Amino acid sequence: MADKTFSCTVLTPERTVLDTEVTSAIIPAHDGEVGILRGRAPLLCRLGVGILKLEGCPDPTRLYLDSGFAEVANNKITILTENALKPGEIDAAEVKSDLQEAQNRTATTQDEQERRSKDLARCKKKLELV
Amino acid sequence: MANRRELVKRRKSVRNIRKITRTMQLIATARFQAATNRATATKPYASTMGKMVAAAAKSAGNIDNPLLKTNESGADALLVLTSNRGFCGGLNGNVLRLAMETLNEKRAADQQTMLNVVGKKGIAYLRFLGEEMDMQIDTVDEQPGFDQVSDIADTMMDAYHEGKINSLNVCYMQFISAGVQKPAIMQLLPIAGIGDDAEEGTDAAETKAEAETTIDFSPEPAELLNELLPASVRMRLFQCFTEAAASEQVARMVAMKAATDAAGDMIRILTQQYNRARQTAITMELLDIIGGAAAIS
Repeated sequence: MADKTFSCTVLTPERTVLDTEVTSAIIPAHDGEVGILRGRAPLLCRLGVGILKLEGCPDPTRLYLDSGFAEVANNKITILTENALKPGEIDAAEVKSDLQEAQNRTATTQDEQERRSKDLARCKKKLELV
Repeated sequence: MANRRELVKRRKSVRNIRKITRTMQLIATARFQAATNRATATKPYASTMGKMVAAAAKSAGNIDNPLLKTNESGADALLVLTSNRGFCGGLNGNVLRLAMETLNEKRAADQQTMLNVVGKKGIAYLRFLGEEMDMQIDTVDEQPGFDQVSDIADTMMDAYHEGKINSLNVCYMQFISAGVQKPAIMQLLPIAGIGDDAEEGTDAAETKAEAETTIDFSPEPAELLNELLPASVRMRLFQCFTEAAASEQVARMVAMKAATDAAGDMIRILTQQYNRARQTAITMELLDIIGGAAAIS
């Protein structure tokens, strides 16, 4: 059977979070999830807040990503994000209290509203991973 | 006698100083390793970011992004990165000299300039000179966090969008290698030469192969650029910070090595002086005794 793996790298400005071979990756793009297999046409897309799901690689197969960009070229997917967390790095209690805080916050202006919904989305995705 | 005791005292204090500087040297060496690792860890992100920007820019064709255009109305901004702590040789002095030169040039050209300073040492120096600072930041420590830096970048970009500043230059100690650092000025805004970034790290064949394939963009290249450009500005500023941090540790390491060596030399000289004084005293005493004995016989 032909080789079905391709390489996947997750980078933050501070470190290389992950560099591994995978058989499938599902990335949280800004407008929904995008599944990627070997041989995909080059892609450059913006990411939203969400969870990166990988298959065919050792743990961790799930990563929380806080927006960024993904590039697919020559069977290599590179993800740039400002914040990437492994499930073990998320403190459930802290996220829950953040979620509470965001839910109770009053947002009157549009700016505040946007920020609030963003915070809510972040917390919910993090909790999903825990 | 008094002279001898003085020498012993001085030698003791120099020994203590040497102990301290040697410890500081060792600490700086350990931190330097960590700081260089952090500085090099930013490289893959930065080069990928450069490639993405270049790819998007190529496909977007005519780019109309405010971050690329030069404002005409406001002041120039200069961001000076210095350290929070001293004992690092000429590091801050060199950075500040370059900063002042730039500032004076701009003043000579009648260009209004906003001065933003990071690091306690720079703030203290410029306050002493009586310069007016628009922003003083002394909360960034030896391990600059991306959050902190991106906040600073966002503040500057907001000012740029509002037309308060025409350009943003960063004055910092560039970390070229463990042996070479030099004060440098980098233009952060407006973003200059997006194509240039791509050249680094990609060889010609790869660039050509990329040019021939069509890339799927999501969203459209132009819209993507609106997100990519600010991100790359943040990244470049972050690189400046990590490089400055690495340079600081190297500078401290070198300065403390020199101080330790100088203290060692001084101890040697003091020991020599002490021995000479001791010997002279003994000779004198002997002469006294012999003289006394000769007088009796």
